[in-house]
Amino acid sequence: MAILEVSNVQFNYPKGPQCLDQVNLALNTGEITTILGPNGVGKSTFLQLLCGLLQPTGGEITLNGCAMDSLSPAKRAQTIALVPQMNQIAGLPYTVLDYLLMGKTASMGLFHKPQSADYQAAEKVLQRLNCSQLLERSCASLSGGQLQLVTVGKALMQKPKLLLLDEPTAALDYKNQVEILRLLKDLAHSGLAIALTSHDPNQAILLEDRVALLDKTGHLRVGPMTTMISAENLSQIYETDLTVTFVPNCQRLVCTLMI
Amino acid sequence: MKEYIAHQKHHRLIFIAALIGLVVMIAIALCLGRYVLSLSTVWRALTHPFWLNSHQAITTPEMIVWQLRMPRILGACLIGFGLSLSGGAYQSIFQNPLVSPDLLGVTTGASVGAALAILWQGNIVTIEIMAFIVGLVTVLLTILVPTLIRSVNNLTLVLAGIVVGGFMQAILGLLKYLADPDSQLQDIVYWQLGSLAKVNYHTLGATLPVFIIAGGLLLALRFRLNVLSLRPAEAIATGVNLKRERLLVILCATLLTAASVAIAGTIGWVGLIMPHIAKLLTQQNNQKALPLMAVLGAVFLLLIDTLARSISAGEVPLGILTGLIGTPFFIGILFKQRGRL
Repeated sequence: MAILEVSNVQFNYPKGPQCLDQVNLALNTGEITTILGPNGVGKSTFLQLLCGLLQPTGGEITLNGCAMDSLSPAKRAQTIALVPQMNQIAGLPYTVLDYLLMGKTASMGLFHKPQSADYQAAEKVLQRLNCSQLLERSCASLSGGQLQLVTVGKALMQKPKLLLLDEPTAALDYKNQVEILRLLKDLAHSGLAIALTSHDPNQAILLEDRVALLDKTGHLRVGPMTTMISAENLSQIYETDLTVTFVPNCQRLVCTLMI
Repeated sequence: MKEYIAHQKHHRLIFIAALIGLVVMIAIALCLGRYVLSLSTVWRALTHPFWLNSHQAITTPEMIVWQLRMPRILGACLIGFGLSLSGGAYQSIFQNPLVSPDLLGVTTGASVGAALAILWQGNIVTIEIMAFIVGLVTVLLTILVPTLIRSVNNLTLVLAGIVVGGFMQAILGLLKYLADPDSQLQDIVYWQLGSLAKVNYHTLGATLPVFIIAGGLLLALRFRLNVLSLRPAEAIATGVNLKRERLLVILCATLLTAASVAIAGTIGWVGLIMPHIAKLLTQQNNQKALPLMAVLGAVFLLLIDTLARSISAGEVPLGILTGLIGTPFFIGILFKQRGRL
């Protein structure tokens, strides 16, 4: 079932070139869509359009059948949660618990504060992410991997149906990358629709679901990972030579740069 | 969660200690001054108010307690409360620990409004309204400058505050030049220096609703202030109506500053120091820090005012004492923030 539908969307910043051109995409329950593309192509911009932070200059985005621009930020946040890039949240002065509780904002009134059920929900979310020990730690003192888990935790506090992640593994080492990717797969299994941006085609291969390739002309091509991840497609969008080979030991494709 | 519950208790104890500190400070402020009263004399004056014994003439201690010191103490508490809350709110919504009503130029702007009202021979309500209008224009101008030069960061906002505050200072200078030197000039200079000497029940009564409404709203919004202190994109994606809620906070914080200026003129540093101390004691969480900074602000200004009227035969302007404490404190914050500037 499509939670969010993008129909013929166009976008450009004022006085800027066309960023997205006639883009179509449906984000469905239980699916992970990895948006791949080179630097500066507009992946983060696209994500901001998907969660209503920016308005398209043409076309339409609907959330559960309602036009995105007709919904209030609180209504949108009850369905969509955004995990921003890690450099956007580095140095946060709050404790992990206080940061997680902010995820409940959309379901609270303007003058309300978190209740005991919200504190319990925060505890459960941290248990699910296997990092209960972080509850009282300051966000500023966390490692990159821990901080990324906590930001996903705050997004989960919103109880979203669609999770959008902006380069969730960009600054992480291999162990933490694997942890985040496993978590995303688990979340998709539990019925969440997920869309994430990435520079690395190998992550799309590991996630084994849908891939959206965004090129410099602003066109988006979407399809299953097995058809979208090819040397030809990737070399074209990244404008460099790449190979995609099947590695029998891992039983999967691997994308390699050619120097 | 056990750790959290322990922290909750710890924060509650700090708040109770601050409230006790306030009561103690009020008692000290009632006793001290050029005419020192014993605690028992103050107690007698407080428990047997002269207006209940209409047959007896008012005694000197009763007059000192009820007519001289009490309005001044209430004024110090209200202004400390207002400036602290206002500074804490500005720091949160601008995600900037360096800002306060005075560093954003709001206090100077509000003084210009007050000076204009004095030139037009307005009463306390007119002074309050004018202080609010010009204070609001000043804060909006300060926000506009970094946006215009496309450099929105902690330092440019403070620099914009200094520039806009300087501009307002120039207008204030012009108004002083135009003022009648025999009457209006004296009043404007009084407002500029900051003093609680002229506070009375009438001015308190005229500004009290502003402190209650704007202060109450900010306290009610204290959890929201945490969310508003996130980066704009994340705050909106979390579910806040950023423009509307930020505007509401700016209006409340500016109203509190304007009401403070209307009572006692420009009193610097309170809105910078107290939010920092409160946040330091509450793990930066506005939900707990805001009530604490309100009480600490009242205690601090009460202490400053008691010192101002007790340490010498004349009265030391409040700005001198707050500045002596505030300047090293601000250097300390700059030092702590050096990596992020």
